[in-house]
Amino acid sequence: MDEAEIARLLERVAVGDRVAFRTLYRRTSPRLYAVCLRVVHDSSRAQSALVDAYAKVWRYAERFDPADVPASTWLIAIARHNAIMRARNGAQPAPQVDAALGLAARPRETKALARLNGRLADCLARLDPSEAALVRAAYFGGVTETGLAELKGLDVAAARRTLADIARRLGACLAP
Amino acid sequence: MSVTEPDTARYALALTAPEETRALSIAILDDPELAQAVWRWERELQPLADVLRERRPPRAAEKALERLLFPGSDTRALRRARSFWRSLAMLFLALFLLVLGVFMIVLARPDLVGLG
Repeated sequence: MDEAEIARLLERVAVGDRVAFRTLYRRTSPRLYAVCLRVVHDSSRAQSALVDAYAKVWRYAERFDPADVPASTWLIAIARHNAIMRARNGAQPAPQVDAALGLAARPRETKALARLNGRLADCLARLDPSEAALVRAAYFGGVTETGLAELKGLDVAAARRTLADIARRLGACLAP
Repeated sequence: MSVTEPDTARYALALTAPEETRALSIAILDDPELAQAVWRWERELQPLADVLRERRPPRAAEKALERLLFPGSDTRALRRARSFWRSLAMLFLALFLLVLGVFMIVLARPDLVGLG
């Protein structure tokens, strides 16, 4: 995605330009659909999540400010959080941390992670492998504090402290 | 609400409970500093999404989106309807020209049709 072009399209969408919205959809939906699919693991639910996400993009495009955030980050954040909320509100079983920690066993996931490089990859590599797996799983909605608490036999507050500690160390590593 | 750096990370990592997520979503709208912190995490974690292989969504998703946002403006249906009426108009024009042509011939050469 060309960030400047997507940002220009979003600015036109913000003033109700349907042609710009359709162009934005054609250019960005393959990427957002991949995110939705990764979160909900089901084509039909991913389509619903995608439609919902673009409806939000249409309604809230005026809130997008390229000075705050790159256009692709804004779009992906909407699609990802929306898909996660739908997955958690729907009939899908609650995400299990143990399943999430089995991420590396899935060939598609392994290939995707092999393409991960840069600062985030370096910082994840500095965490314990199970902690890094937790971060990757959490990003796609596969971990909740309650789920981690159940798995580890902790109370929710302790699970929250564990995850907050991982986030703190990751944040310290990522800090410029 | 008092929001800390780990809270913004928990929000970006979708670890917050639904009520907390809603509260943070509202707080972000009123607090540019908080919004910046959340966006920083979203940017930093985005490579996890970037490595996913792109998948073209089925055409049905776009149709559903069009129906949801722009009901009554199904451009393809409109194009089909316009094309139908244009074809019908062309057909009537051709018929009219044919009848007119025959009429002109009859006027010019009535002997050809046994009227002269």
